[in-house]
This record gives sequence, structure tokens and C-alpha cells, in this order.
Amino acid sequence: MFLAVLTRSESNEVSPDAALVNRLLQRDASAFEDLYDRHSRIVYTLVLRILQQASTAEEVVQDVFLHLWRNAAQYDGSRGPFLPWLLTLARNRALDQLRLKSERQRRREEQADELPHVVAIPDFEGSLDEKRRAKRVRELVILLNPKQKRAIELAYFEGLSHSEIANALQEPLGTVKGWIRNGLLRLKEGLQATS
Amino acid sequence: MNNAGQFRDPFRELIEAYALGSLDSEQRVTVAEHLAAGCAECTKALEEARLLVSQLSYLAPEAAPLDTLRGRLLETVRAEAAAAKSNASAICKSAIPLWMWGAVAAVLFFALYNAYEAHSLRETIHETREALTAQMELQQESARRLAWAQREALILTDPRSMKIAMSADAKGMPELQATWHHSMGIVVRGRSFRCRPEIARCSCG
Repeated sequence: MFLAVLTRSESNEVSPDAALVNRLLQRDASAFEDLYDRHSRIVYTLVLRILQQASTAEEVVQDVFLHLWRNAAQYDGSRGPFLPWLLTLARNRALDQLRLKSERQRRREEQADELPHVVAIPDFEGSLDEKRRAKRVRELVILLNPKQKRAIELAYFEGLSHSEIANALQEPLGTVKGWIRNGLLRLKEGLQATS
Repeated sequence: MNNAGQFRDPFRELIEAYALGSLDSEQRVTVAEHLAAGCAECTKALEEARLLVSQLSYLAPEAAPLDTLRGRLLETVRAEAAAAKSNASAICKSAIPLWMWGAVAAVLFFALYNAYEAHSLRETIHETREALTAQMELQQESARRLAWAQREALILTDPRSMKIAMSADAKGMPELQATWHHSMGIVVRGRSFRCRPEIARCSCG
């Protein structure tokens, strides 16, 4: 399962996501509904983690899905699965929003008021795989050195560069670079071994 | 852990950090230029690194958006889908059916083609008529000249014809000789014309 996530499929079989994206190109609203139900939760989870503010996160998620609806042709199925592409799009939008509005400053002031929505939603196709994948990723990251985990989180969720992370953690730049690279490689090996 | 070949390429070591977006700007630009130059190995590594990096999303505390967001989005999407279908059908279903536009175009084409053909035919007929008229005029002129020549020959050769010499009285006047036939007329020929020698012909019926 995880190997399939981390390596490109060699088969010519069209994935359910790719089939839905093809239907988006025909302006099929029901395909959009299916894609939203399949992936809105993880997209929202990611965006909310980055922005730490529910209302702004919802705006970004809305923006991401409308972008998908209006520009579905931008997704090239030959270059990899759909979900990582969608998550990359969502992360970039969220980090842009974070930088644009200086959310980091505001977040500190508003953190006490804003709690993430944790809403039980019905399981849909693939959610079990997604839950297992999430569990495995967390298990693997817990094995990392806490500062190494923090460095990766600062890079991924806050969009910080190596230098900024080194400053934030008060660690040498080379150490931070090594942590991030080794941490990602260990995560990759762990996911591949799980398959 | 990995094959040693991967670590010989300095760019390859940066690909994961590039996918993560954590490279400092100078290194980011360098890697981007390297990828733009078409390094196949790094491009493939980048695709895999992006998949790997996207897995970090699962580190975030699980959350779900409110149903109101779903409702808003679906409302917008359905409206846009309906508008797109409406636009598409408006293009296909105009007030006049497509086949009728085709028929009108075909009729116009044949009318224009026939007009052109008729014009070409008229021009051909006109040119043929002019050529025929010219040919007939030429034929008439030839017949006329032939008749003159035949009559002249008869006047000059008939033993009943009388020759009349007309001497010039003054210098510069041509010498003329007439051959007269009582029924066919007279042929007058001259010499010593200032201009080139010619024979003046006339006949009386």
C-alpha cells in the first residue's frame, strides 16, 4: 500500500481519482462532489495545521477546491497520484496565505480562541487506507529525534527554510540540513518497508 | 541505505529539501535551474520526493471542515456546471437549425457557381461570334478580289478588247494604257508612277 504511494504506478489502469478528474473536465458536478468527499478532510487538516485558524483555513480549502474545479486540466496523471498533487496545491496556498497575512503573529494572539474542528464524518471509500497510512506516518515520525521531528514540521507546516529553522531551534545550519534529509529518508524507508 | 551513486550527484542530495521547500533561496534557484536543464534522474527523484513530503500531512491533528463549506462549494460548482451546459446548448441550438444553415450555404454556392458558369458561356459565345464574323468578312473580301482578278484577266485576254495608249503630256505624269471591252469594262494600267509601281484597277459593269 505505501510503496504504491511512494512510487509511480507502472500500470495503465486509471485510478478512481484520475477518473473523477477526467469527469471534472466534462464539467460533471457529481464528480467534484465525490472528489470533495474523498479528500476534503485531509486537505482541511493540512491547511488548518498550517494556518491555525478555522475561518481562514476554510477559505483556503474553498479556494483549493474551486481551483481544482476550474483548472482540472492542470493535473497530469502521468506524473503521479492525485492526492499528493492536491495536498501540494493546498499546502502552497496555505503557506502563501500564512506569509501574506502574517498569520504567525496573529496566531499567537488568537490561538486560545481558535480550536480546530474535529468533526466525525462518514467513512468513504479509501478512508481506511488513509487512516492506516496516517497512523503509520505518525508511528515513523515519533521514532525520530524530537528536534528532528520539529525541524521537519517547521519546514512543512510553517514553510521555514533551513536557515530559519536553524535560528528557531538554535542549532547549526548543517545539523538542521542533516536532520531534515535523514528524517525524510527514514520516513521513506519506513513506508516502503511497510508495503 | 541507498546506493552510493545517488550521493555523487550534489543536486540529488538536495531534492528532498527542494520538495519540502526548505532550501534557502540561493540553493533553491540552483536546483530549479538544474531541473530546468532536464536532469532526468533528479526530475524522477523530485516526483518521488513530492509524494513522500505529501505524507507529512498526516502529522497534522485530524480535522474536518464544516458542512456549510461543502454546501457553498457544491452550490457554486453546480451553478457553474449548469451555466457551462447552457452555454454549450446555446451554441448548438440556435433559432435556425444547423442543417438549414447548411442548405442555405449549398444553395448560395450553387447560385454563385451557376452565375459564374453562365458568364463564362456568354463570353465564349461572344468571342466565337466575333471570330465567325471576321472570318466571313475575310471570305467576302477574298471572293471580291477573286472576281476582280477574273474579270481583269478576261478583259486583258479577250481578242475583242481594244488597247488604248494614253501618253503623258507633261513630265511627271504616268504613262497609262487602257484595255477596253465593250461588255466587261476597262482595265487601266500605268507606269512611271513616282511612288512604287502599282496597277490601278477599275471596271465598269
